[in-house]
Parts: sequence; C-alpha cells; structure tokens
Amino acid sequence: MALAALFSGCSRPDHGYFGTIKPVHGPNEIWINNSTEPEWIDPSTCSDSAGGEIIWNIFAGLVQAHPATLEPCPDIATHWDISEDGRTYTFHLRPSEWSDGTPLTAHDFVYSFRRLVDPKTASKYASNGHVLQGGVAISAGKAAPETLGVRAIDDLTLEVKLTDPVPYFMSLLTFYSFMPIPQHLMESLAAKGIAPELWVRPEYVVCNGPYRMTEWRFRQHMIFAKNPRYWDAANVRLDRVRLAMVENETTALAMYAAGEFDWPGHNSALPFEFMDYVEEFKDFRRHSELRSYFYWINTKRPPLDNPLLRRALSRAVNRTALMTHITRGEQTPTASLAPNGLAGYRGLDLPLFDPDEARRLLAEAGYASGADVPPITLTYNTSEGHKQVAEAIQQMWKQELGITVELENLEWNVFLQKAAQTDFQICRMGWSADYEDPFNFLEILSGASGNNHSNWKSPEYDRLVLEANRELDPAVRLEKLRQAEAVALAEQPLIPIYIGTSSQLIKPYVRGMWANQLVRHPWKYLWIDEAFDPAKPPTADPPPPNPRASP
Amino acid sequence: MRGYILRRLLELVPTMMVIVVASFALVRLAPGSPFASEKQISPQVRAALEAKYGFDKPLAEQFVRYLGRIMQGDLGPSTKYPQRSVNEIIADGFPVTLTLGAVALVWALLIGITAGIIGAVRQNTVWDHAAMAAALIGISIPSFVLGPVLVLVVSLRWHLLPPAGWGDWRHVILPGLTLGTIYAASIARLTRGGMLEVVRSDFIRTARAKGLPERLVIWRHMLKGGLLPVVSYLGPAIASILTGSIVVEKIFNIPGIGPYFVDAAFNRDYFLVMGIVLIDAALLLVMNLVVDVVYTLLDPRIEYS
Amino acid sequence: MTTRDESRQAVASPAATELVVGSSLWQDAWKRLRKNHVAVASGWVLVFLAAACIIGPSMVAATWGYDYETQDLAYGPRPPSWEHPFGTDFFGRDLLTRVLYGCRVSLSVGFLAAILAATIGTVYGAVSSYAGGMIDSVMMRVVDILYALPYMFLVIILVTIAGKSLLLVFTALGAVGWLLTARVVRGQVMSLKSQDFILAAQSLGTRPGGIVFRHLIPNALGPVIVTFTLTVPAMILQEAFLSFLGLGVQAPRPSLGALINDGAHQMLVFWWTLLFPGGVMALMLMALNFLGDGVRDALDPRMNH
Repeated sequence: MALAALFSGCSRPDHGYFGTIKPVHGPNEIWINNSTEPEWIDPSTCSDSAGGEIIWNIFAGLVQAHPATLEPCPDIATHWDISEDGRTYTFHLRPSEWSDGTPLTAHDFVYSFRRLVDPKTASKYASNGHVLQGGVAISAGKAAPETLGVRAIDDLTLEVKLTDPVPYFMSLLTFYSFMPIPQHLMESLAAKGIAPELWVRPEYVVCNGPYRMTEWRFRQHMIFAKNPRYWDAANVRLDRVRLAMVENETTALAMYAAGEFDWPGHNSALPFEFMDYVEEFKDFRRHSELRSYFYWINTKRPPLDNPLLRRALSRAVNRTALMTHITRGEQTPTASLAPNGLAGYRGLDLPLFDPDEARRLLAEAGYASGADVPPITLTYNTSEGHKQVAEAIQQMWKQELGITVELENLEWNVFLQKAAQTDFQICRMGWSADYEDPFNFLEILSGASGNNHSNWKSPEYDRLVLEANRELDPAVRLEKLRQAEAVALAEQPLIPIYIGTSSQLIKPYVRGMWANQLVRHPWKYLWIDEAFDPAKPPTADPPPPNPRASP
Repeated sequence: MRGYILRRLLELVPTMMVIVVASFALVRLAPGSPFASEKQISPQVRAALEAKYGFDKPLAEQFVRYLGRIMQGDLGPSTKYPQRSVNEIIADGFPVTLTLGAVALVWALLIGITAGIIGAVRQNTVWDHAAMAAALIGISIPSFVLGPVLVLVVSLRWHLLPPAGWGDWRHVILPGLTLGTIYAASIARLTRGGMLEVVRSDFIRTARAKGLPERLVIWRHMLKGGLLPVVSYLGPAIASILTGSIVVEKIFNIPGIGPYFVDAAFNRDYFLVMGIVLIDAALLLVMNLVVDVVYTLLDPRIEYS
Repeated sequence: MTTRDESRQAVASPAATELVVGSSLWQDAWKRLRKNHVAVASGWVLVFLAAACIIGPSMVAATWGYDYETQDLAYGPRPPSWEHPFGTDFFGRDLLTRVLYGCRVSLSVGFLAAILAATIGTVYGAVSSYAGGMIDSVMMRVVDILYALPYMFLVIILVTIAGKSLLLVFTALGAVGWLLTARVVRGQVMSLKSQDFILAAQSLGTRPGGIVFRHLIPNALGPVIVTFTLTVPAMILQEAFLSFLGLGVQAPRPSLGALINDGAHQMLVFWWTLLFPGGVMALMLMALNFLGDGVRDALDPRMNH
C-alpha cells in the first residue's frame, strides 16, 4: 500500500482525490484518453469502440441518446411519426448544415444507410442495417443498394421502412452506424482520385456534429475544435477536446494522477488488483454497465453434449466469491443472460451458486465423481483479467466437483477464429450492448445468428423470439423473450457469469456527466468547473431536459 | 578494405531478398485473418474486404505484386489502420524509436564503458566490486519493473519529469534510462572482461616495459582490446534495442514502431509487419557492416580476405 | 611444484623417475576453480536452488500442507507471515511453493535453452570466423536473416501446432538465442586467429577442427561466459512472455518468469509478489555471474594464480 500511496502524489496535502485537482490546461478544454487508436472513424464501417467514441461526437444522427436516461431524443430529426403497423417511420428534419456550409438533407441519410449495407463498403456492422427492408438481400449481394427501404420524400423528410415492427428501432438509431455521410465530399474525393478511406482525415473531413477534428497525430493525440455549424452549437460548452491514445492501464493511471487526463475515457478498465485501493478516493465513480461476461459451451462435443453436466458446471461457479475477490468491481453476478431491469425486463431468477445441486446434477449425468469426467479445456484470449477469472473458476470446478479442467490461452486472432468455428469446448466471451433492449443479448442464442458459437439451436426458442419481435405490446413482448430465455438456459448452452460495471476515476472538476448503462458521455455536455473547491464539493448537475420537449 | 565494403554492400541485395521471401512465407503461414472480429461478419463482407487488399489472389501472385510495390517504395496499406498507409506509419514512428534508441545507447555506452574501465583498471578493489555489483543489479531488473519504478519516484513523487508521452527532451530521459540500463550493465561486464583479457597479453607488458605512462597504456592498448567484444555485442544489441523498445514504448506510451512488432503480428496486419521487418533488416545489415569495419580499426591484426 | 619443475626433475634424474603425469587444460582449470572461494560458494548456491526446487514443494506440503494451485479466495493476497514465509498471491495461494515450483520450469527450460544457445552459438561463430572468406560471409548472413525474421509469427505458428509442448518452447527460445553468442564469438576469434599461438599450432599440423576446439574456443570463452550470463535472464523472461501468449506452461502452473511478470503488474499494491520471485532470480543470476567469472579466470592459462 505504501508504494501505491506514491501514486497519488502524497507530497501534496491529503484531499482524498487521486492526483491533481486543478486542470493543467485552460477551462475551455478537456483532455480525454481514448485508450487506443481507432480503426475506423467512418460511421458506415466503424465497429470498434475507440472509433465509435469519436464518431458520436463529430457526427449527429437523426436522434441522440439522452445523456442520463438514454432515451432517444431529437437531434437532426425534430419529430417523427410511426405507422400503425410499426413498420414505417417518417422523420422530419430540421434545416442544418455540414461543417463546410453545405446544407444537410435527407438524401445524405439515404446515402449513408445504403452505404452501410452495401457489400462493397465491407462494413463489419452491416447487420445493424438488416432491420431495414431489403437490407439482408443487399448485404448478401442479391439486390442493389437502391432497393433499400429508405427514401427522401423531400429535402427535409425521410421515410424508413422496416421488415418487421422492431420495437427498439429508435434506440438502435442512436447508434453511430446511422449517422449521415457527406455525399458531396465523397464524390469530390472520388473525382480527385483520392482514396475514399482518407475522407475523415483533418485535411478533408466534413462533419455535422458538435466537434470536428483539427489535428491527428498518429498514436499521440487528436485535437477537436467546436463546430460552429452544429445546429445546437450554442449549447456546446467546451471549445476544444484533446484525445490521447494511452493503452497501458498503469501508465494511464499515472498520467491521470499527474493531470494529463481529466477523464480516462469510455474504454478504460482498471486492473482488478487496483480496485480496492482506488475505490477509496473521492474521484472514483462506479455504475453498472451493459456488458455481459460468459462462457460459451460447445454443445456438440462430448462430454459437454450432456446438458446435465453443463448445468452442473454452471451451478458450481461461486459467482459472488468471484466478484468479491477476483474482479472486485461490484459487478452483478448473474446466472442468466439478459440483465434484470433492462428496459423493464424481468430477468430469470437462477441460483448464483449451488454446489449441492451441482453435485446432484453431476451424479444424474452419470458420473460417480468428477475424476470420471473426460478432460475438458477452457479457452480464453490472452489477457491478465481473463486469465485470473479462468484460473479461479478452474479451481472452483476442481474443489466443488472434482473435475479437472485445462486452461488454453490463445492470442486474440486465433481465439476469434476458433470461437467462430466453435473449435473449443468452453470458451470465454463477452457481449456489449449496442442499445438498451434485452433482445440485444438474447439474439446471440438464435439458431441463425452468426454470433451463436455453441452449436445449440432450438426451434422453440427461435419461434418465441420471432413472435416477440412481431409483438407490438411491450409487456407481452418482454414476457415472450423471458420464456425464450428460460427455454435456452434450461439446456445451458452458455454459462453466464456477470454483468459488468464501469469503475473509473474522473476528475472532480469535470461536470456534465450522468451515470448510464451504456457509459455514454457526449462531449457536448461536458464543462470544467473552475470554481471547484475540495472543501465544498458541489452537488451533481441536474440532467438536461429531454429535448423532445422543445420543438 | 574498400573492396570489402563494396562486396558487403552488394551482398545486401540477396540477403534482403531472402529475408523478404522468408518473412512473407512465415507471416502468411500463420493462421488467423486481418479481418477477425468479435461480432460476426457475413461472408460477402469478408470477401469484399479480402478483394480490396488483394488477399483473395493466390499467394505467389500476391508476393509478386508486393515485390513490385516495394520496388516503387510503396509499403502498402494497413488493414488495422485503414486511414493511414504503412509508409506514413513507419515514417511517423521510426524516427521516434531511433531517437529513443540513440539516447539509450549513448547512456549505455557512457555508463557501461566507464564502469567497465574502472572495474578492469582497479581490479578486485572495492571500486571493481561496486561497479560489477551495480552491473549485476542492472541485468537482474527487467525493464517492465525499472520503468514503472522510475516513473513512480521521479515523476509522481518528485514531479521532475512527465510520466509518459512524447514531445520534448523531458520525455526522453526516463524511457532512455529504462531501456539503456540493461545494455549498460552488459557493456560494463563485456568491457571489463575484454580489458582483463588484454591486460595479461604480451604487448601490454611490452608497452609497460617501454616505460609508457599507465594512462597511455590503458587508453591506447587496453581499451581497444576491451572494446572488441563490446563492438561485437553492439551489432545485435542495436537490433535488440529496437525490439527491447517494445516494452518501454508501451509503458511510456511512446509513438515509436516498437509495439508494432507484437501488435501488427496479432492484428495480422500483413503489410505493416512486412514493412517493419524490412526496415529492421536494413538497419541490422548496415549496422553489422559498420561493426565489422570498426573491428579492423580496433585490432589491426584482423584482416578480411 | 609445478608440472614444469616436475618434468625438469624427471629429466635431471632419470633414475628416480616416476611416470610424470601431465595434467590437461581442463584438469588445471578445475583445480584453479576450486581455489576460488566466491565461485565455489556461488556454485553451492546454484546447487541449493536446484535442490530446493526439486524437493522444496514436498517439504512445504509436509510442513504446512500447501500446493501450488489450491486457492483460498477469502484469504486473498497477504504479506509475508509465519504461515506463509513469502506471503500469498492474488488467489490466496502460498507464494513460497509457487516460487519453488516455478524455479523448476525456469531452471530447466530457461537455463537449458541458454546452455544450448551458448554451445551452438560458440561453435557456429568460431567455425565461421576461422573459415573466413566466403564461408564466413554466408554463415554470418544466415545469422542476419534469422535475426530479421518476424519472431512473433514463429511463436504464433508454434502455439497453433501444440501450445503446451515444452519442446516447442525450447524451439522458440533456441531459435534466436544462439545468434548473439555467434556474433560475439566470431568477433573474438577474428582477433585470436592471427595470433602467434595459432600460427604455431597450424605449423605443427594441427587439423582445423583441433585448432577451433582446443585453441580458439577456450580462449574465446571469456565473452561467451559473459554473454551466457546475459542470456539466462533473457530466456527466463522470454519464457514468461511466451507462456503469456499461450506457448508453454499454462496457468495455474507457475514459472519464475511468469511470477515476476505478475508481480510487476501488482507491485504497487502487493509488493511481495514481485520481491520474492524477483529476488530469487537476482540471486540465481548473481551466483551464475560469479561462477562464470571464476570459470573464465580458471580457464585462462595466462592469469597469475
């Protein structure tokens, strides 16, 4: 502990905060760590969270998620109409401009949505556009992008048609895949023979969000300046955002202590060992995050083709002990997949740890003792945290059931390959929600889903899910989803372990953040409190009004 | 000598060719794909991505195209960072790594050779033992321990230097120290050992018998002998400073090319991997040539046929 | 009496002659080594470490009942105490047992790999340098090529073939370990081969093999030993890196390098998890260095003993 105390610069008077409490820069900017260089800053092709974090702040879509409640609120669209059958949405756009002064029209949204599903764009998130009519066919190369169910009725009116009445569609629209793309810029670059990937670089980029990128020093930092042409620019408080790319967690902690970041950013994760120490500080914040951690089971490879054995394994994991002693982040231990309380969902109530039941199931599965179970391998991708969780669970299975499990550690690329081909027995996986709806979790158990790595299918599950997604009454829909989940978990194609939390240190003078489960903190609400005084810490800001209230 | 240097420079070409072919084969043999992603992508998207970079063509054809590219000085696109070309990435990162490496090397040579000389000249005295003990400690502490400890003390406790990043001279000191210390320790031991070998040889006795002052004996004769193993070590040491910088650059968040040796491999960023292999190889071959030439300066008995 | 005196006596008084037994270079060296107290002590330290890691875990199990894998999550990581002389790790496992067990892997794999690398490197470098000319060129270019190849891909491929195989860990470690020694030895031999004692041996008709093995290598051993003592820690830490990537010993089986790695991550909050494994490695290295110095001194016929 003595060494760790050096971290917080104990040469300063002890104010209970981790490091500096006055910004090292002016009051009109903020310094954030984005953890890593983004792969894509292009709304259509982006699938990594570092890129997404940037896109959310330099582009503006039809709707935005409210910073506290995550409810879809107007952004470029002022209001919208939904048809009776829930399949047709009509959006009315406000007049607005791109950062170079060109007017933004509904045609830019049409261009963007088509581009998302067009196989030539090769977007890894094209599946987001598959709820749109014709999306699936276009992505499969069987139809032209022009057949997509989206059209501009006029410059400021957009009509979107869906295949099914997707109840979470508005929430889905807050995702960056649906932000507009400046068609005029893309065409002019193509005419000049410049590679299309380069359009987001500061020398070319045209965007419509609260900020725009003015400097990009690869792997060092990015600078963003306030975009005066953003329709709501009057309410954007900070003039400048400086984004760093520091991957190493300990280094990031050290830099935070020295004041070189105000916020470690959306993607930061404190190592487990530091949790207890860091929790003590006043600038520590924690809230739940919609991120599930579980182990897939290959249900076709013996001995795990026996559902009784699978359920025994799940019951024998002492999840509470894992959370208390290993992950130490107050994560929610869970034995079910879709989180309880998510958009009103009533989660399954399965026991978190039941060693007696586990032993009974083992016997029922036909094994006199755990030593009789043939060798099982648990595969995880190279990471300190995953290794620690796997080691603990490996021991739990040994101690409670007498089953010996070998650990296999693969680097990310090979790991993904094996996971995709279900070339494993048990394999670690995580799943982050893109939008707030239990189906975002349950879809991975669908028979047709490319993300189902368990070789488990159930026609009954698929039927229930299909019915649920056609259901217009939200309560009935949620109940159907719950039945589906119960069907799935009775056969245990995966072992859920926990729902994540976000544990971060954030400088006390950073204001304009509200805890939400997707850990989204748009930059436009942030501001620096120059008057911050550790002796009199301020009360939290009230969340902004739901903009839907204004026209 | 000039003929020798010329011959070596000509040898660079076939050597580089072998390196290019062998690396290409090794890189493509490894399983995995640059387009692996956690959320599954459809076969059409995968096909489109592969076509975009030419990965759908037969390997031999890809190799020939790649050769054509590098002849024109174009190292290709990066699959992990599509908004930058490999040329740009290396142009950004290589000078940074070189600077860091140079600082580390200067530190290593200064401290190492000095400590080695002290140890050899004052053999078996307290100075010798102190110098060698310090060297031993230097070898025993890996950089991923030394780095954070230095940051903790110098940066966070005493607030003398920034904890990480890259910008001005203050950012080079801690990483340079961290990277260079291990080499300093090795150089100290090699210098001392080399000098001790020489001290017992005949021409030293002759020099002393001739009445040359001790300082001249040391500088002119012993040191040259002592530096021979150091120079042999320096060739590969410089190459390993590049790979050693992986850890240091990650700890201090320095935008050099070190981390790419590992990360680009994990990402299967084929063009980037080949690019840094080529740069690394070129540097290595040139350094080895320089080292071989320096040998002859140090020991006039050495000659090349 | 030295052997020279004995021989003189034998010549002077043939009647009183017993058979004069000459002693070889190695026997002389062994005698000299035994007189070097520091080296002998270091040797014993190493023997002790080896013995400790073989029987240590059973002794600890007999005394306290710990093994290397049983966790006690509720107990958690705690500093050293009577129940746990080295403290416990993050999972509540006894650190003393894990360090002793970890030495097994590191000593066997890391150490052996370093010995193998030193042997291959020495022979290769000496042969290349003595042969000179075109052969030397080609052999050294092979070294350069191997240096330049992207090592990570070799590791990835090996992991895919059989991640847990210790043989493959050896391969991965050995593949590049010998390159540095080869270069260092080549440099040494280049300056040695033009010296008088080599000319003498050549004019006596000694075959090249004899010259290389009986004259050149023993005299080049100085830097070889120093390089060896640098290679061992590199191998131990490299083994930890490979294990982290999935090649070799996997959790929960510990290796010394892996323990140091984990300890380095946690050193700010659980200092003992770094101190003890790191301390053991430092102890091993120091003993190795002193022993190595002693061996080098003992083998050098010109040193005043």
